[in-house]
Amino acid sequence: MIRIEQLNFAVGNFALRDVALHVRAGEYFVLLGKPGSGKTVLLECVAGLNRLSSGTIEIDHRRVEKAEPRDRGIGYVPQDYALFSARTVRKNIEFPLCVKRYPTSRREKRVRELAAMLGIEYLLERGTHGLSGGERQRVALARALAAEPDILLLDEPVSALDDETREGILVELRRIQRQTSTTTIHVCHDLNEMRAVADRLGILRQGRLVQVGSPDEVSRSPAEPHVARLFRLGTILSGTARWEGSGSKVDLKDFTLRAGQPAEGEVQVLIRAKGVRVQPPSPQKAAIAARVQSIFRRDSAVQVDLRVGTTAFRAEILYAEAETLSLKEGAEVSAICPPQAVHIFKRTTEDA
Amino acid sequence: MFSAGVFFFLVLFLLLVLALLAADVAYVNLDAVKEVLTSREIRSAVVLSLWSSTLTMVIAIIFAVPMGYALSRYRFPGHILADTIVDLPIVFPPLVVGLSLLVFFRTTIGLWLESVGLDFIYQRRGIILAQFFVSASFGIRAIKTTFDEVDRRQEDVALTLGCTRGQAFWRVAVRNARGGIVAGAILTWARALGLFGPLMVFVGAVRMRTEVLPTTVYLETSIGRIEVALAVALVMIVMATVALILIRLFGGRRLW
Repeated sequence: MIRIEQLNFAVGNFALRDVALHVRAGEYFVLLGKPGSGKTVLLECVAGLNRLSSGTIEIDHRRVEKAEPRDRGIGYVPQDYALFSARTVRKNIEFPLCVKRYPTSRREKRVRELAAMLGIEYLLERGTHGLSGGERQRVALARALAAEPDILLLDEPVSALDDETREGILVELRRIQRQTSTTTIHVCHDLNEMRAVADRLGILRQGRLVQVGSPDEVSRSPAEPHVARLFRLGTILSGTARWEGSGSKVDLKDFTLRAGQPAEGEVQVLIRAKGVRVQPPSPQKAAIAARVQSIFRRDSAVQVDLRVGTTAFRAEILYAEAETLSLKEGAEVSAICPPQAVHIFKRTTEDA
Repeated sequence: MFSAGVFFFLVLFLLLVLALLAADVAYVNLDAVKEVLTSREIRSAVVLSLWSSTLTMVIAIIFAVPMGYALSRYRFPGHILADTIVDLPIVFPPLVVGLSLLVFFRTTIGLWLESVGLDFIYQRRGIILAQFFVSASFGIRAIKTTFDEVDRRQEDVALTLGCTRGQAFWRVAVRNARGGIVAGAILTWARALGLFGPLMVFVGAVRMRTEVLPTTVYLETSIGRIEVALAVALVMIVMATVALILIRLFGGRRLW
């Protein structure tokens, strides 16, 4: 368990501000954010590599913000893995065990266990030069797990790997985490990577933790436009809302939307791409006459960028639907944005 | 084509050095070599040169490793000034170093040191001091540059794996920098072995007492015995070559 309260830390022009976070015991927690949002800096604060300006960090009910890194019970895998280049793979893995003066027999047993778990027995006597990205990652992970840490901190552990290796490693990370029940914080900026492993996630933006929740919760109810953008949920537009008893009506520049949430005044709204229905031109009242601006075929769906006057928004439809509609760029269509496809942000101060 | 170009410069330089050595060897006759090998004074100078430069190297490395680390890893007020002062002995004219040491030991601090038995002028320990002052900078510079290139993240990871700062320094930083430390040791030792000017000023050239090999070469040349001077120089070159090869072979691998 990790509990962070009112954490503040500044380095150069960047600062983590009032970060509060609770990672449950045995949880796989992902810190998600764009590069420069402060993910690595926060991880280093937990690791004890950065001294806090203020705030507290508890690991398993022990206050550790002033403790040395070695007294925090952590295993840390930095982004570049930082394998000890002057040592063999075996010596890398047994390094923490040597430092903690484990007897030789116990060291050898632990190295064998970890090497088997991560499938790197064949690498043990090799130096670290010439290892592939995936091999380096496994060695770094084995080294971090060697002394059975209470907390595992992973900084962009698969960012440097090719897609196939990345998927394999993510599956392994999740398996090992479940097997060892080690509370894990995993830093990344990739949505698919997060979805592959996270029990819950926290989203950092410019040094502030803006939302914490399960991937579904965050996706369902993004706290601010930045989160919606990071999750690629759809299009964010500005408008004026007024409450009409059963829902809100949001006047945008070129058309009007209905939303289930109560709202009044200037707002920012999210039109969920997956919630927008595209159909042939229709006189239906709720239909918005739009023109197809561009079509982009992705792995699982077709992304259709629509334009109404000067307002552009995105729809995401199934391949089958796209085929039925015979969509072409420049075609006239009707778009339907049901209230559940529209999310009104409570705060409107976020940048566009 | 590129490789040929690179090797052209390498071969050209090696040929120049070898040509100089060949000229020396051709000039020296067997009698001169015999005299060098049998002379008590010169044997004493060989021994003094070897142990003084080796001791200087050890002391210099003891200073250079933590100093190089501090200059590489920490940013503190006056960092640039400290970094520059470290290099000063490299650009000091050698004679100035000798004179400065002489003058220093005539100041209050120097006289006090003498009064408590730490006299250096015209003493063998003065050889070590002069050699250290001139050659340590080479070691510090080489080692600092190596620490600059060593990945600091490895030390951070070592801290999280159970190391104290000291353990991370010894087990990771020093180990990773061993190539640079060996290079620093070589530079320091070689500079100390070849030092001449400051020694003439600070400790003199007293036979069997403060005479080292470069002093011998100077003394023999000054009385017109060029063959003997060159034979001594060849002995120095052989010693240096053997020592450098040994340090290269064993320094980086077996000692750690």
